[in-house]
Amino acid sequence: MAHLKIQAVSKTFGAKRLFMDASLEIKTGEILGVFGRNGSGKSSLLKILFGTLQADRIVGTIDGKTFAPKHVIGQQQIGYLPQFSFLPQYKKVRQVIPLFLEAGELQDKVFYAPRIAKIENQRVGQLSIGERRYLELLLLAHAPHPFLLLDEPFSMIEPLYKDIIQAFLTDIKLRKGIILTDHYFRDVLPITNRNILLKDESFLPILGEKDLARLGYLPEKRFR
Amino acid sequence: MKNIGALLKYYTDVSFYSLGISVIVSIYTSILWGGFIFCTLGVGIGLLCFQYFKKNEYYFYYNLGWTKWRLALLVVGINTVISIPVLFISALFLWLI
Repeated sequence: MAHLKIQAVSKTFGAKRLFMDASLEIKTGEILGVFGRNGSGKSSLLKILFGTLQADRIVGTIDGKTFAPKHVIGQQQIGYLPQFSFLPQYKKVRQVIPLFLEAGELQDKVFYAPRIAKIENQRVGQLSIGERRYLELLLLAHAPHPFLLLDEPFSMIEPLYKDIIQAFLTDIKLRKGIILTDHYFRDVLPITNRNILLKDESFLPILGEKDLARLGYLPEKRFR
Repeated sequence: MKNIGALLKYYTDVSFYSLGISVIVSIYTSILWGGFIFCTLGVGIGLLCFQYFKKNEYYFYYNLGWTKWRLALLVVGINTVISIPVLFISALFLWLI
C-alpha cells in the first residue's frame, strides 16, 4: 500500500495566499474529495503535487521517502487528469490507446472496457465530454502511477457517464490513491472516503453536505 | 525507452513545423541553410508552435513520464543526428558541382 503525505504546503499568488502550511495524506485504496470555491486553490494544489506549478514551500513524502514535485513526472508516481482534454484530438480512439499504453494486455483492458467498442473508430475530438472523460480515466487507471489527481472529472458530463465514472473510480481505488476535486458534490460524496474543504488558507475536514453548508461552501438555508 | 510511439508522435508534430520553415529557407537560399535551420532555429520554432497549438497535449506526455525539457532534448538530439550527415552530403554535392 502506497502512502502520499504532504506535511506542509504553502502557495501565494502575489498578495493572495491560497494555503499556508496545510497538510493532507492519502493511501492507495482511498479517494479524497477536495472542495472549495472558485479561486480557493483546488486546481493549484493538484498542479503543485504533479510538479507543474511551483509551491512556495512543500514538504512531502511517498512511502516515507521525501519527494520533490519536480521529479514526480519523471518517476511516474502521480498521474494527473486536467480539466481540459489532454489527448490528441485528431487521433482515433483505437490509435490513442496503444500510444498511451504500450503493453498489449493493458491495451486489451481498455479496448474491452464497457462502451469503448462503440467509440473506438471515432476521433477524440468528436467524443462527447462524458465519453472523453471516461476514456481519459481508463487510460490513466492503467498507467503505473499509484496516485491519481482528478480535476473536475464530473464537470459537464451526461448523467449516464456520471454513473459509469463513479463505478469505475470505486473499482480502481482498490489499487490507486485518488485525490478528486469537483463542484458536483452530490457525485463526489458517495464515492469518497474522506473530504476536505479549502478555506481560510487551510484544508478543513468535512463529513458531508451539512459541513459544506456550515463552512460556507453551500447556502446554509438548504439545511434548516 | 518509454512509449516510443508517443515520442515519435511528438517528434513528428514538432518537426512538421520546423520542416516547413526549413523548406521555405531552402527555396530562398540553399539546402545547406535549410538543413542548418532544421537542426537549430527550426527546432525552437517547432517547439514554440507545439506550445501554441497543442499545449494541452503536454499532459499526455507528462503522464507518460516525459517532462517538457526531456522532450525538447529528444527533438534536438534526433534533428542533430539527422542533420549532420544531410549537411555533410549537401556540402560535398555542392563542392563537386
